[in-house]
Amino acid sequence: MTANKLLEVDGLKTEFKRDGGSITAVDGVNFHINKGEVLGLVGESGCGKSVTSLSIMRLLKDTPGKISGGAVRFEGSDLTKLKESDMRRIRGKDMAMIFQEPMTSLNPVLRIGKQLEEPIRLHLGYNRKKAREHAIQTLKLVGIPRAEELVDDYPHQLSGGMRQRVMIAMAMSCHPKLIIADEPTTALDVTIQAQILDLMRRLKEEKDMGMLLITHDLGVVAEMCDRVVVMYAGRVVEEASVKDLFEQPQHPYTKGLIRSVPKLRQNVRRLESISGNVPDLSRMPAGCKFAPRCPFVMEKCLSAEPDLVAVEGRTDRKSRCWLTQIDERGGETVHEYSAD
Amino acid sequence: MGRYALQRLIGIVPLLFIVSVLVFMFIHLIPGDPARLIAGKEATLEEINQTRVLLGLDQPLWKQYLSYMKDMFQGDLGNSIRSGLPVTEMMKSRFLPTLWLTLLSMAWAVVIGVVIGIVSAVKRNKWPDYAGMLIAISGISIPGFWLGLVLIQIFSVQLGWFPTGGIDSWKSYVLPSLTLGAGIMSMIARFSRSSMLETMREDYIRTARAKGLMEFVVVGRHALRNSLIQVVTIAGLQFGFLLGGSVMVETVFSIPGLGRMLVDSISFRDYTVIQAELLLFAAEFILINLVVDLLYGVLNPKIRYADN
Repeated sequence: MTANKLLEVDGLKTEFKRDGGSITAVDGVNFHINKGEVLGLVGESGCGKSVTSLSIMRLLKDTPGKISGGAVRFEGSDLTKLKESDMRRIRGKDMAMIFQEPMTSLNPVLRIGKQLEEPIRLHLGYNRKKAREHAIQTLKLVGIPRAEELVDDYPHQLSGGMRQRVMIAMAMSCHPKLIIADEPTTALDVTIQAQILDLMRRLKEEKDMGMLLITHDLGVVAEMCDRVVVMYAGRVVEEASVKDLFEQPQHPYTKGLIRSVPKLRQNVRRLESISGNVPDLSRMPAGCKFAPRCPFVMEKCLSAEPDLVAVEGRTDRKSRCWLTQIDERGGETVHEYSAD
Repeated sequence: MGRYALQRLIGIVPLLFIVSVLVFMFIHLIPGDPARLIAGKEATLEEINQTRVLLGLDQPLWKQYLSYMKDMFQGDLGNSIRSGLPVTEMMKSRFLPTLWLTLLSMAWAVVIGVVIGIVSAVKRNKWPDYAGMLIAISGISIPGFWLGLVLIQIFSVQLGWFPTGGIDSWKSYVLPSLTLGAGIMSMIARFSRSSMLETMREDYIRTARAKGLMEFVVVGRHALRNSLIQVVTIAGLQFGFLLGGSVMVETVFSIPGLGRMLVDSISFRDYTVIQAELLLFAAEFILINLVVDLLYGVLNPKIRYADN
């Protein structure tokens, strides 16, 4: 099991300085990604998904954020302890990232080819000519027609979908082992979304990469992922295989998320939603962070926060809820979860 | 780019026309009768009328404008009311010192200003930032005449490295351009710092970092060019103002430039000279605006390709 792990996030804690104090945006997050696996990271805006991904890549520079605890093990080595120069060798090479906003994620004053060649020359050591050829090859790989001409274009000459393909090409260019995709299709039209997801799945299978797919769209999760981690208020609240998550969601938050997905076949007038908002990170409730919005809230939820524990003794199925921890025999907690 | 440049060039034609009309009208804005003024205080009515015919002031306005334009294209801007010398000749000798002073001041102010701006932005809230901004604040706050006098006192009087004034060699320009450039350098430093900070927050900077690029490549290749667009605007404006000549610096360092010439001609009501200077300043500004527009095109492909 351990040998198969590509990335292991272990108790990751990221804090942001704000007004003299600090708030914890990511608080003790645990998950792992196996080789060749797609892990979905799901949650509402502001739940710490993106901060988690930036923490893994150590791209928190120029934000007030800082990793204050835990470890991020990539192929065994702890990224949080690496020197910046060693981290640079991993960024863009073994671990690459695709961002949410294709419209603003490319530099407007540099040609597409130039931007693509940068990581290729840096990490693969190619000369200009060879890097350009490789860039064109990669653009073809992501399904861009007339790639030979497009390398000399500027970003503003391309559509959003094309730019996201360029971003994917850029991430793919140095044959990464892990791709972190932060809401890669959120900013795109629905038809383009499907194309980009198809492309990402095809590439993932061809190149046997691991992928961390950050999204708030459960449709994307169902289509792309092997396993899912659900985050709420900076914590993991549920972990499951995609099948289990949709068939038997354990955590009330996950249940709410699944219920909120509009279903075409059912004739309902109102959209389901989870009432209330994500709590302000500086004014967190004392017990379970979801308690104020939870339809099943109990006395205990308000005073003590549950741990993330295995459900029914399965190692691949975890939930952070008192409901799943009080078993039918009347006992209290069962199967305390501990990091491997 | 060629098309863009051509469009800009064509765009200045109507501007030049409007400016020329306004400048031409200037002589008619003078209170009283220009013919009387030019003929002199003791002139008789007959002499005044002669002068009027001589200068063509009895002709309809549009005819006057045409002949004014014709003369201008032949390099004739009339004679100075005060000295009777051709204005073009006077301007020629005054223009070069001002041009040199402007070029030298701008050159060091832009280079040093941008460098300070970048360093301050990259090392934000650390000591290089504080040092850079201290220099910038000082540069803006210190009055030019005082700085000029202090520089003369130290480098001319005490050390004897540079002349105290005049325009004898390149050495004469060192202290004046230091004085003149200080304020501009400070302004550019502050502008490039804030522009750089803004650029460093862009998504594509994060993309560049995610590629594993070294920080100096991220700053130098990805951030600098984008943030220079704002700096070019402010530098262009300053360049235009300086080309008008700085009365203060030209006075402190006794440089025979356009700034002093303008003040002299205003105090002697030398309208033909004032008019010629107006024309020159307007033309300079239009030219600099053109250059700034072209630089936008060079820096930003979006502007360059906008019409294609």
